[in-house]
Amino acid sequence: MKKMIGMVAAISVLASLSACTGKAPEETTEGFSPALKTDTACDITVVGSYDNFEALEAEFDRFNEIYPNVQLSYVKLDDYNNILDTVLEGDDSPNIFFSYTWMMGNEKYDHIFTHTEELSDPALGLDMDCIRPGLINHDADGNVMMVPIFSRSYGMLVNKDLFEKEGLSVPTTRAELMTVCEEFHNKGYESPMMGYSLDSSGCFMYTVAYPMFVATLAEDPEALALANDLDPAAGEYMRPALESVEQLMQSGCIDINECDKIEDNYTEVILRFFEGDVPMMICAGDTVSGTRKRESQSEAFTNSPFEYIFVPIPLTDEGGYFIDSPSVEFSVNKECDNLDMTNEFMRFLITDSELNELASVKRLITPTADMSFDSVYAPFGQVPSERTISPEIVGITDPLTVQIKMAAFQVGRGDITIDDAVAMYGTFE
Amino acid sequence: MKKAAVIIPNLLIIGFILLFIVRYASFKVEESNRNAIEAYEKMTLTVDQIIANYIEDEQHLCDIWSNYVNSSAESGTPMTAEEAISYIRKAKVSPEISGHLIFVDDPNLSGISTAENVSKPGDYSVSYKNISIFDNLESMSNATGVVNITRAYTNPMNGIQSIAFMNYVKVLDPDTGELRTALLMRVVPLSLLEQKLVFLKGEYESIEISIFDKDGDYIIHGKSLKNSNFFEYYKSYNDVTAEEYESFMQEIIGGEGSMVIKNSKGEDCVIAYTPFESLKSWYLLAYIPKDDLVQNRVVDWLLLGIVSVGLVSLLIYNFVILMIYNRKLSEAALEANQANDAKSYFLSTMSHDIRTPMNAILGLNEMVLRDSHDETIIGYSENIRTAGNTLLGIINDILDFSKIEAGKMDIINVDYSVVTVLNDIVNMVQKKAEEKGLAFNMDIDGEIPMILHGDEIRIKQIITNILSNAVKYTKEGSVTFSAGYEKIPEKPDAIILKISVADTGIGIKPEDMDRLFKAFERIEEKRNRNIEGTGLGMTIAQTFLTMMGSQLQVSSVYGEGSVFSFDLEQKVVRWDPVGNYEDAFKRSLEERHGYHEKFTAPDADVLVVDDTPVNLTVFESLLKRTKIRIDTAESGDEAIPMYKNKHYDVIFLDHMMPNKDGIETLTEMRGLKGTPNDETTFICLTANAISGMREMYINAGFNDYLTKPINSDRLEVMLLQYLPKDKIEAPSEEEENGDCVLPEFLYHLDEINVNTGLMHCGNGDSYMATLEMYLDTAAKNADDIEKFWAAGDIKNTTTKVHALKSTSRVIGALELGEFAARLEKAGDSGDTETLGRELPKLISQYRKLAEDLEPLNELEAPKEDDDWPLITMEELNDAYRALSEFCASFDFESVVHVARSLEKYRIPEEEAARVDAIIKAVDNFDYEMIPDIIKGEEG
Repeated sequence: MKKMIGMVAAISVLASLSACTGKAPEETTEGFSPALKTDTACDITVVGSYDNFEALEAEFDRFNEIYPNVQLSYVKLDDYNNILDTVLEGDDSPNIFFSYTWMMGNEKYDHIFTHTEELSDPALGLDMDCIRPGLINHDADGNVMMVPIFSRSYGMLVNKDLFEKEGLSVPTTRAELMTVCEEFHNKGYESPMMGYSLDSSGCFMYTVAYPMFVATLAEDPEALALANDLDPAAGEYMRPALESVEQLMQSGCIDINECDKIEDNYTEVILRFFEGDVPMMICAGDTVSGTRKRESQSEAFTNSPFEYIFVPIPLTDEGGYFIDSPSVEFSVNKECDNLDMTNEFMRFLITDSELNELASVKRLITPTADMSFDSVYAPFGQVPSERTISPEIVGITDPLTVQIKMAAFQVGRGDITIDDAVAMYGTFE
Repeated sequence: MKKAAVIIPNLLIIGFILLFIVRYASFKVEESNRNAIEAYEKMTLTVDQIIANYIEDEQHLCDIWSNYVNSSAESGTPMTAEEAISYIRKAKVSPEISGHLIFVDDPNLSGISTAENVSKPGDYSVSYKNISIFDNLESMSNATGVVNITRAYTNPMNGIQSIAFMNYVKVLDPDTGELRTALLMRVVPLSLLEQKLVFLKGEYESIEISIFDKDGDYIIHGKSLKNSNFFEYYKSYNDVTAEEYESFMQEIIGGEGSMVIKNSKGEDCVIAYTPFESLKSWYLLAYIPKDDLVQNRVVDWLLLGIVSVGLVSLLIYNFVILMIYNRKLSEAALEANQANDAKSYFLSTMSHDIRTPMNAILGLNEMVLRDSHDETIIGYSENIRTAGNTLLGIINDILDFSKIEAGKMDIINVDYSVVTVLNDIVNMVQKKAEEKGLAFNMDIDGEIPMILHGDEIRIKQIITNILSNAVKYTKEGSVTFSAGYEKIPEKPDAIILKISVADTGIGIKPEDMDRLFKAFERIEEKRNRNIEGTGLGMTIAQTFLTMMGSQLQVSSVYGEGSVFSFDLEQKVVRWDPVGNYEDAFKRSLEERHGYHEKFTAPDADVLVVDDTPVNLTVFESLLKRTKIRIDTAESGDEAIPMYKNKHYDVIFLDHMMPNKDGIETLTEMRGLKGTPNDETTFICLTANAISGMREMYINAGFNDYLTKPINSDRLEVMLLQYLPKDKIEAPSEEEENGDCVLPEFLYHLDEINVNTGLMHCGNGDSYMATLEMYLDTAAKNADDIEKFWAAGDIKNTTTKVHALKSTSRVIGALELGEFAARLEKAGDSGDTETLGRELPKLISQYRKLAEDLEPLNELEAPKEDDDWPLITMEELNDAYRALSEFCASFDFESVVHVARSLEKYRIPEEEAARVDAIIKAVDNFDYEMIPDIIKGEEG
């Protein structure tokens, strides 16, 4: 009986205590100490070209755990590249906007950089060291006007379960790749490697050729200079890359007819890969970002899920190249309202944990040094530094990429020969 | 247990109150939430109307612009694009709103804006080449009132997110001089639309209004709604199947309503949606976190906590108070219990202490009755016996009621003889009825099974109570006792014993029926004040019946009489029928008048141990005429040396003795080996007359028990049973007033047992008379049996054999009686073979016995009829009347006496046949025929 009374009393006391307990004190996100008053109320707008940026919106939510009264929103701008300058000049200019490496040095966008804040300023406290050095661009004055939030690379999605099923290992060298393709072919796989082939944008030919071309140029500054100048003499440096494209097709690794059935360079590529009968799907990292969301959209994958990874295409005897380019970068509008809070958000975002979180949600390559958190991209983190190339650091310019992209596409489709392509360097548009 | 009885209900009540608070609060919250959601939905409709009005207004303004431009064209003075834009610049009032005139037939979708490009001052050219908002132009209507609106897009002139209202206009191409179709756009910043929703902030602080198109793409995008597409957003954060997703989309675009979905943080939020009536494919969506709209907190924990603490405090306080009172109550209860124990002790002591002197009183009174010849003294003594028995009954009633009240009364079922029970009952009541001049009738079903299983004592008590009451409350007329039974189909080993007692007493008024079974209530107390009793009899009877699963039924007509009856289920131990109980009872009545010892046993030794000397005296007195040698001891310790040294045929031990009670004494005696009493019978004397005693005493080692006050008949019967047969002798003739000396030759006849005959007939005279009658009728009976048998009349043969059985047993011709009994059974079962084979032997033995009894005729020569005086008719009628009365009261001994006396007279010729018939009936023990013989003649 005493126990019963005791229990009732205890329950009552607990009930009373719980009734008196107020709201738990707010906890700050681990590793981040707010520098401003956490009850500051203001609006911050991020503009960009992504239709959706839920990963960033998730970061907004996390930031709101610290600054609950800060209203952050992401707005997708129409005709982003052309309208950005107008937006920055307008009355409703954003706090943060997407910027790209290729904008730097491009006259059309020079004006944009009159609005950007220098982000390496120690006063801002951004943890720039968390980003792989090859991804940070400095302008002519050594200022950092944009900071990468995602990285882009080129490679191929590998169906690990299929390899395991067929008793094969994921290739790490060119010879292994050829052998594996032959093995798959012998086992009835029409096109052991596939990719988008209908248009130059996002086509597999470019994904195969670009890393090799960049690697070639990286080793030869003179060649790079010629190539950047679109000098036809630089055409010859494309040859190894174009030959690799041609070899993959001629050796039976890639059946262009099968590839032509893929109607777009993003969703259809992913869904085709999820069909489960494609050992290797050549694509850019941006395409890989769409895999997670589409796993549930693929009936085949839902019924028969498999493990997959994204690896560099092993086109040399040593392996493949990790072309480590910034994808989307953030710039801060130094004339925006609430600049302090904008910088506070950037300080919050540019950290290992938040960038990795952002990349993880978006399923893009993180710009931070640690890539192991995402098993799909983890193989890129294992590529040795000598085969990791940052085109921006090397000095690859955007016009150059157009040349190799168009040359590879047309050679791959058989529209022109390698010789033609070499000769046409500088003339591709 | 008592604490639990307080605490548990209190806790249950507390729990109930708390549960009620929670449930009620939950109900109110749900109700409040329903109201909140309804209001929220209504608000959504209001917003929908506001925005719809605004959109229609904006479209209307756009239409005004286009109408003006078009009217110019229609009037033959078309405006150029520049002129149209110039007009719009003037016409528009708000600087935030701009007009774009776009040539949709231009591949670059270029045109002119009313406002310059903010990044290119002075540049009014505008292009929508890279902004895909004209996908559905072909379906655009130019009818007045139809809203043509774009999605939200980035105004290429200022980078502001805007929407545009559109209509076609005709403008003049200055280069060609032709009219050219252009799209006139009224470009409105989204912020203006959003301003229309500001008023909502007061009511719903965290509400977010979104507008999306039929594909789910936002026109206006609430900040909490991630993704650029509402449906995608839903799919991303809500775990739904493809079917559920499709259903969700259909529901949203299908009409207005509200629902709860998960937001990007996994929290519940309430969305209300409604389509814009004026637009084809825009939908309004109001979003609010559920916590901000409805009360999730079902219970106010502070309130609940305070109530809980309050109730528990109250409980503790009450408990403490209760404990204090309980302690006082416990003390009071202890005192009450002590008082009750004292009462119980008093009652139990009374049971023993009153019964013990009662034993002395009634026992000694019995001696007075036996030994006194003074009629006055005998009268006093009879009164003492009556009063003593009444007092004993009252004491028993009070004790029983006390036990019932204390819950100590148990039903103890044992095997019992129905005949014994009936004997005891009728013996007790019949005499009382006689004394009041009431006719006591019996209607006993001879087929009632002989041995039943039930609480013999209580059943006897119930029936006795009812019968006693019937006798008490009946002044004249009769009391009829009926006993019957019914078989129970579903219980083959049980019967329903049906008992009823009908009287012609005062009856009971209907309004008094309810009081009949109330303790200590006596109906019509004033009228019945002279009737003794406690008022407990019916209560006790009813209680016992209830305990045995039955109920006393009463039907009564006031002034005419009552019938009390009950049915009782009893297990059957032996199905042998009790037979004709009335006959058996009649015979017992013959034996009853006057005390005659049943036997003598001058060589028998009996030891009786009782701590009350008077009881010892009574015991010795009761057995005085049996000549048994009786030793007495006043304690177990005194008895034990006697036990060691002398052989006793039977030892009586009183149960309740100080120091060493009867059982302890018995145990000690049984433990002694090598004494002369190893085979001696032990009988317990006890005042505890309750069921189960027999089993208890037998289990304790006794052979039997005898209740006090000691009934002399029972005592003698018990001794007859347990004394060695060789020590049993016929009753002393000297003590029979010397009126009859049995002929010596009788003792030498093998066929008869004189002692048994004497026992059956009561005394020597009666025995001799019976023997003579037996002898007189033997020849005729034997002839009749042979005659009936020869005629094949089995029925009458069996009847005659039955009579032979009875008469043979009465005179002590036991072997012949048993022989006749076997043949009677054969006759009843139609076993003619046995009859044919054995009947001659029976008749032979019968005639042999008659022959052996012939010397009786030589002992007393019959007197000549002429020597007898002639009886007058008046004397004869007196004799008839006496015979009738004796028959009615079953006083058959008197009947025999009167009949025999008639034999000593000469009978008038006209009455000779009737007298002969009467004498013959007496000879054949057909007493019940006598009234009919008398009446028949009279009639």
